[in-house]
Amino acid sequence: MKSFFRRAPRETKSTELDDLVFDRHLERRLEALAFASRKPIRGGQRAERASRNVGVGIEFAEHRAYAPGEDVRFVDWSVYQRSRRVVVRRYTELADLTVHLIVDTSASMGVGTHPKLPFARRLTAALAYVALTKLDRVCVWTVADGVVSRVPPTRGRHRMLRIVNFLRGLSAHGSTDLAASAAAIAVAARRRGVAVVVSDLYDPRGVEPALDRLRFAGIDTHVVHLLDRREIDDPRLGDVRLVDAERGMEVDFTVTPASLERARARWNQRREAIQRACIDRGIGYHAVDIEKPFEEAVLRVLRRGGLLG
Amino acid sequence: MELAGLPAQTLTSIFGGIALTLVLLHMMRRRRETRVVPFVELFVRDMSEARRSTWIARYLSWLSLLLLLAIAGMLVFALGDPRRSHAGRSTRSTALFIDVSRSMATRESGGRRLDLAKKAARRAIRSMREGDRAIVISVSADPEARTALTDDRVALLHAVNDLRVEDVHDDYRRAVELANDVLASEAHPAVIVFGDGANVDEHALDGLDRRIRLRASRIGHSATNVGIRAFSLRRYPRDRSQSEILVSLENTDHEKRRYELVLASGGRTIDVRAIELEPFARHEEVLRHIAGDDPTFEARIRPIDGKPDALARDDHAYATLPERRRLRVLVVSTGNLFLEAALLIDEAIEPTSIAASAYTNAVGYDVVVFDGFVPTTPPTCPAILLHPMPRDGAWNPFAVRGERTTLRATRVERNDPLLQGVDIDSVAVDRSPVLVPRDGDQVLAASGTTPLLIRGERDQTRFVALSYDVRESDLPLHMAFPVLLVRSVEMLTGGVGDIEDAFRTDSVARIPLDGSASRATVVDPSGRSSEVPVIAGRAIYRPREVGFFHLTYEGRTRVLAASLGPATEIAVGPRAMMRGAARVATFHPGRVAPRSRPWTYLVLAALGVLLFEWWTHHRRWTT
Repeated sequence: MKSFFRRAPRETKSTELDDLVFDRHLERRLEALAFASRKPIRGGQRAERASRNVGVGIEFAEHRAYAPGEDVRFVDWSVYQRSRRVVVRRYTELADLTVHLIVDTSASMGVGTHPKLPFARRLTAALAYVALTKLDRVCVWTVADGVVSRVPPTRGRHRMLRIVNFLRGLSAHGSTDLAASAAAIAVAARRRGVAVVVSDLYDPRGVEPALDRLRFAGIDTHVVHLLDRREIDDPRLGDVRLVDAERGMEVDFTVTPASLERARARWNQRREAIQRACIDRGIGYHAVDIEKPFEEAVLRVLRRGGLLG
Repeated sequence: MELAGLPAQTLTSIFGGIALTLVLLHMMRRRRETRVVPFVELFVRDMSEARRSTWIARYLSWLSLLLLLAIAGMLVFALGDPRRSHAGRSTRSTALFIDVSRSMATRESGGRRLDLAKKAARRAIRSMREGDRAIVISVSADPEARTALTDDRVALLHAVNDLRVEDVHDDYRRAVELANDVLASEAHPAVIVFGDGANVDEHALDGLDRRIRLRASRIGHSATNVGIRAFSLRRYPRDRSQSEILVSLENTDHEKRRYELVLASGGRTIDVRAIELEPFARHEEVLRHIAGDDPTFEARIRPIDGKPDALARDDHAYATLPERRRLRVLVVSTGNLFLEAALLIDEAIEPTSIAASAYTNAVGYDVVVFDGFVPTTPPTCPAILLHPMPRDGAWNPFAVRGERTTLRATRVERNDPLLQGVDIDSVAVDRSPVLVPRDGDQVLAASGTTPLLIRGERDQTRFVALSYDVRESDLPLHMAFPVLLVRSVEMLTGGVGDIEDAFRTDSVARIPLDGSASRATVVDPSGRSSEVPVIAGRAIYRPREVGFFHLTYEGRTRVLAASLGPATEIAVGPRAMMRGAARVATFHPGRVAPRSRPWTYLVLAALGVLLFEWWTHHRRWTT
C-alpha cells in the first residue's frame, strides 16, 4: 500500500507539517502495534477484534442446545455422536474498536519556544495510524474549553489523509476545561471504546472531573501527559511579568534561583498528583517528555504503559 | 523655621532634579519583561493572591515611587539644615575659659584637674539652650580660641576633649582681652572659668568688660606639692670637659618631706641623693665635677616618705650642655711656635698657620691672629693683634708713639672676663711700642701709661691687641699665655658655650642656627612635629612641655631641653577667682537641654522609609 505519509510534505509549504511524516522504519513499527482494550467491546462492524457479541465468527465461544428453526449448519455433529445431544456451536464475533483521540488545543499547548501542540499532533497521527491499520474506528476530538472540532468516527487506512489534514489545521488557542470537554464527548460518543487524552493537563479546575466523566461513560481512558521541563527551567533571572497563556492573567514576579526551585517542586508535585488520580481511577497514565525522541514516546512509553500492544 | 544650610531655592532645584530622575528610573523599572507561561500557578502559589496583587500592584507600584520621592525630599531638606527660628528669644554668648596650665595636671580624688574641668565644661555645653553660642578658650601662657563662637555642640565638645595640660603658667589677662574682643557685640555675653585659680593674679580678671557676666567653676581641693624650681648646669671655665649642676627644689607642704633626687645623663643614672625638705622651704643641691660624653641631663625627684605628690609634672627637669663648636683660627706669623702650641691646648680650636707673605684674606675663619704683621685691609673676622707695628699702606689700627723698655703690668682689669684668674702681673716685657688707643678702646692691662693689652673695634672688626712681641717677654713661659689666647678667641667669637643651653616653657626660645637655614622643624617630647619660623638666623619656638626637643634644620639635628617654666606653678593649691574686690560667683550648670537637629531626624526618617521600602519591596508589596 502506498503510504500517504510520504506524500504529505509535498502538499504543504509549511515546515511544521514535516512532523506528521513518518519514515518507513517508524511506519513499519507502527503497523506492528495495536490498541490494547482492557474492556470487551460491543460489536460494530466486522473487524479483527473480538467483541462481546457471539455469533458468526472464527473463534469458538460456547455450545448451546439446538432450538427448532436454527440453522442446522451450526449443529456440532461430533458432540451428537459422543453424547446423543443436539447442540449448536457458537462463535465470538470479530468487531472493530472505536478509538477516541482527544487532543488538547488550548493556548498552553502552543506557548514558548518549544510548543507542545506539534508533538501532540504527531502523536495523534501515529495513534490514528495504528488504529486504522487494525481496522479500528478512529474519532479525533480537539478540545479546549469544550469540544472545538472533531473528525467523526472513521475506519480504513485510506482515511488517514483526512485525519492528517484535520490535524494540520489545528492551532492552539482558548482556555482549558477538560471536564466540560469530557462531558461533551461522553454524550456525543455513541460507541465507547478507548479514549486517549493528549494534553498538558494545565486545567485550573483539575483533571479529576474530566477523568471521572469519561470513566463513568464506560470509556476505557488513557491519559498521555505531555511534559516539558523547559517551561520552568528558563535560566533568565530578574523581575518579569508573567502572563498566563490561557487566562491572560498578569503577575509581576521576580525570578530567582529559589523561586525556580519552588516552581520545579510544584511541577513535580502536580505531575505526581495527576498520576495518582489516574491510578486511583484505573486510568492509564503515560507521562511523555517531549524533549525526548518521538519514537521513544510512542514505542516505549505507550507500549510499556499498556496503551499499545 | 529657618534654613541654616542651603537656601530654599537651591534645595528646590536639587529636589526637582532628583525627583525627575527618580520618576524616569521608576518608569523604566516598571517596564518589565513579559514572559508568557502556560500555567502561572507553577510560579505563584496562590492565584487568588496573585489576582489581588495584579490590580493592587498597579496602585502599589506607585507607592514605591512615592516612598523614594519622600526619601529624596527628606534628604534634600536635611541639606538645608532646618532649624527653629530664635526670633523673639534672647540667646547667650559664652566664653568658656579652661585653664590648661601646669597646675591643672594636679591629681585629685576624681582624676586630674583638667579632666574635672573638661567634665564641668561639657556639662555647661550640654546645658546650652537652643540658639546659645559659646567659644572655648584655653588659658595658658598663650590663651587660644579653640573654636569659633558657635552653637555647634559637637564642635565645642570636640574642642574641650582635645585640650591638654601645658607646662606653662596661665595668663588670664590675655584671655580676658580675647573674651572682650569676641563678646564685644554680643547681646548677652558671659564668661565661665573652669580652673583651679592656682597662681592666678587676683586682678587678672579685672579687665573683663563690666557688661560680661562672669562665673567660675573652681576645680580642685587644697593640695601640697614638691617640685623642681630650677635645673641648670654649666661647664667649668678652666675645664670644659666637666660641668656643675644646680637643682633647686621647693616644698609647699606644711610638713617636712623626704625625696629622692636622681640625676641622669643620656638615660643613665649618674647620681642619686636623698633630700630632706623643710616645710615651705626651698632647697638647692649642687652636683660638681660631672663628666660625660652625653650632653643631655635629666633630674627626677620622687617622694620616699610614703606621702603622695600632687603634681608629677614638676618632678622632672631637663637640660643640655651646649655643643662645643670647633673654631677655625688663622695664624699669620713669621714662625712663632709659641702661638700655635698655645692654641692647641684647647681641642675646640683648630689653628692654621701661614706666613705673612701668603696672607690674602681670612674668609672662612672665625678668628685671625696677626703676629708682628698688619694686613693691608681689615680682616672680615675678629682679630688678635700681637705687636701691631704700623707700616705704610697697611691697615694700621694703632698709631705708635715711641717705645719703652723693661716693662711690667702695673694696672690690670681683673674683673674683666678675659683676665679673670689670669696672672699677667708677673710677666716681664723687655721692649714694647707705645700704642695709642682710640675712643672706645678698652685698655685691659698697662704698664704705667703704656698700654699692653687693648680690646676694641676698628672698621667693624673686633680685636684684642697685645702691644709687644711675645718673644721679647717671658709671657710664653707663663700659664697665662695660652689662657689669654684661648679666652680671646672665645670672647671674639661669642664663646664656645659655658652655660646651660636650656629653654623655659614660659618663654619664647630664640635658638641661633648655624648657616643660612630658613626653615626648621621641632619634634617635641610627645613626638609631635611642627615647623617653626626662622627669623634673623634664629628659630622661634615656645616649648609647651618639659623634655628634650629635637631641632632639625639643613640636615642637622640638635637636641635642646625645655626646663620648667615659672617656679610659682609649684604652688598648686586652688584659689578663688576674684574680680575687683569681689569673689566671682560660682557657676552651676543647668539641666541638659534637648537640642533639636531636624536634619538628623530627617536623615533617620529617610533611612527608616528606605528600610520600609526595602522590606515591602522584597515582600512584593511594592514593585
